[in-house]
Amino acid sequence: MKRILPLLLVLVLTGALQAQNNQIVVQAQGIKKMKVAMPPFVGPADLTSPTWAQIKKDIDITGVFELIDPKVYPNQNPVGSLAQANLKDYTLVGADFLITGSIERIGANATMRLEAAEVATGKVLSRYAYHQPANVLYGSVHDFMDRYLKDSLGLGAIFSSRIVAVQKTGGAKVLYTCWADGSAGQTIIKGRPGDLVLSPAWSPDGQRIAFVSYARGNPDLYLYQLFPPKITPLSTYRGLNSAPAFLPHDNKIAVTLSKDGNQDIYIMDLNGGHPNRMTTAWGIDTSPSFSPDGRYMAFCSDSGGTPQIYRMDVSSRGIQRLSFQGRKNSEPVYSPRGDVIAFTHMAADGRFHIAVMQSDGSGFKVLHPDSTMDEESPSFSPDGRLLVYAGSDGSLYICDLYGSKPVRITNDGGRYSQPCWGPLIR
Amino acid sequence: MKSLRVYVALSLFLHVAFFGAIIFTASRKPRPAYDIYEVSIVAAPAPGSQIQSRRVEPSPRVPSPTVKGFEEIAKAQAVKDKTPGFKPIDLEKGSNRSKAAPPPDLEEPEDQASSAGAYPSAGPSAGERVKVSMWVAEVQATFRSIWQAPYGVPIKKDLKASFTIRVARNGEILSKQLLIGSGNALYDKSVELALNKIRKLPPPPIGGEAAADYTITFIPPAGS
Repeated sequence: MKRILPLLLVLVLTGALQAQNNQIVVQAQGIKKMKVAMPPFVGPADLTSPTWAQIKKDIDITGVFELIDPKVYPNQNPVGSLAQANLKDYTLVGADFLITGSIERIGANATMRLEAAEVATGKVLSRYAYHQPANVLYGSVHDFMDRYLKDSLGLGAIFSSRIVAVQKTGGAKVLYTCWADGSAGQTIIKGRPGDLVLSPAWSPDGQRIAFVSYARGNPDLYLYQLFPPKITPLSTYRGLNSAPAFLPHDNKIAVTLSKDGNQDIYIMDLNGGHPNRMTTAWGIDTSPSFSPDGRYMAFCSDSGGTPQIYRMDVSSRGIQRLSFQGRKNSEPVYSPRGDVIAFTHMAADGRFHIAVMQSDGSGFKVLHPDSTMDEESPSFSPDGRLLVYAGSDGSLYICDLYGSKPVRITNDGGRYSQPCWGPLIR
Repeated sequence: MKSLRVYVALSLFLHVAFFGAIIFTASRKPRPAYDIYEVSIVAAPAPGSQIQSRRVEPSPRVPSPTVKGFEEIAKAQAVKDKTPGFKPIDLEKGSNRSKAAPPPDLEEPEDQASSAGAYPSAGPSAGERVKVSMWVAEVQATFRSIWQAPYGVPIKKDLKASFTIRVARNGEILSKQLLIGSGNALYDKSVELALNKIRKLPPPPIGGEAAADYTITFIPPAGS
């Protein structure tokens, strides 16, 4: 009996402990970005410095990563590959990921090797080598960053895409494009002095840009084909031809015309034929944008007294008002995911802010309510996570939908407005 | 007269022997109690698992676990037996534990393992509960220090990711696996990254067991 008693006691105690609840709940104390360490790259400074700086900027743009200041790394020497890195150094500074790089110049070309790993496990996530002319390494950086986004967090690509915007130069407004991080910007359509070029919109295949031009004295719509470059008139009706938006699947485009008196939205072929009037309400109906399945069209209308966002079921023509907040709301754009609509919101204090809401009108949210400058003309990234918009300081900014600090992508002092983020270019 | 005394003595002896035998037999009858549940626990979720008992026989009164769910059996039996300390919910938790087999290098001797589900009538003592609570608090603090919800995710109340982790007696995390995703890959990945950073937790209060499974659920910050 003396032998059995301790055994029984052990069994009872074991059972008692096993009976405890095995569920543990951990509540986050806040939100944070994933920490990335990136020591200086190995190679000639005139190549490695701008490349490192570009990746740093791209890390900021992603909205999910944050670069740890290299000044706090235990080892501040250049690291050319993961094999040369001591992961413990980066564990100490709290890094989740490590990016290393090396560039070797070979004549006019350069070979760039970029690697990324998860610091805690040492697992290699990305390992890519690029060989190309040394003056266009930025293109490889875009490719690497898109792959790194996918390899590390399973996110969609954004950097292999371009943004088109209106640039004010002297007395004219011209069309300007740059890559998503602002690199390699260039003017693509120069108007004559005094000309106005407005409202650019990418086609879903990224091969064409529709825009408004006053080249003939009237606000007409044109289609700019990128390869080979060619401009053709799209809509030159008397009165206003404006606010183009391509339909996601059909070879059609929605535009705002005033040919019948009122400013209404029409859908027409890409050669300008068969204009089909979509809105008939009193007042101005403009700024169409389509859900990715093409079922709904968001647009701005002042038929209710002030400019507000409405949504139309394209097949039934049923219309629902979505926005009610602030003084007015305009320039709606559908997310490529179809779940969110971003727009320009004029608050009670008269300032313009970028705001978002669910596609049914719920969940209204101003992204940067404390911003000291006006924000206008949002446009979604190809994956729907980010927005580009124009600030009243004349710069273009990229932000996420959750209110983190926007990243300025243009810094050449140009006056930019009306950006439109195009699809991925492969 | 003498023979009468003999008869009386004999009769008395026989009566004593008879009632003694009845009492003895009655006292040796198997109690239709917790062994029934033990079989159910082991057999219902994972037939043939390593902790199946050989020593416990199922009572004929117990319906087959394949016919009735374990929870039903346990609750019905509890009502029938009116066992004061019995809690079906506790047994249910015990059954959950028995689902995962111990890793090969930590396999327990069969006798010890067979006791895994042998939680009879009494719940854990107050001291043990305190011990477990303290350990859970330590684990929560450990994860809170390294994990925060990631940026770039729509933070909603119902956002949560559950991982199953197997913790050795010395606190070492032997394995981890996503049990229920949040529906947002970025959120799940942030939890996975945090789990990857922790190799060892405080030793769990699991008595003689080599390892135990826990489900850790990661939820967004308060006020979201």
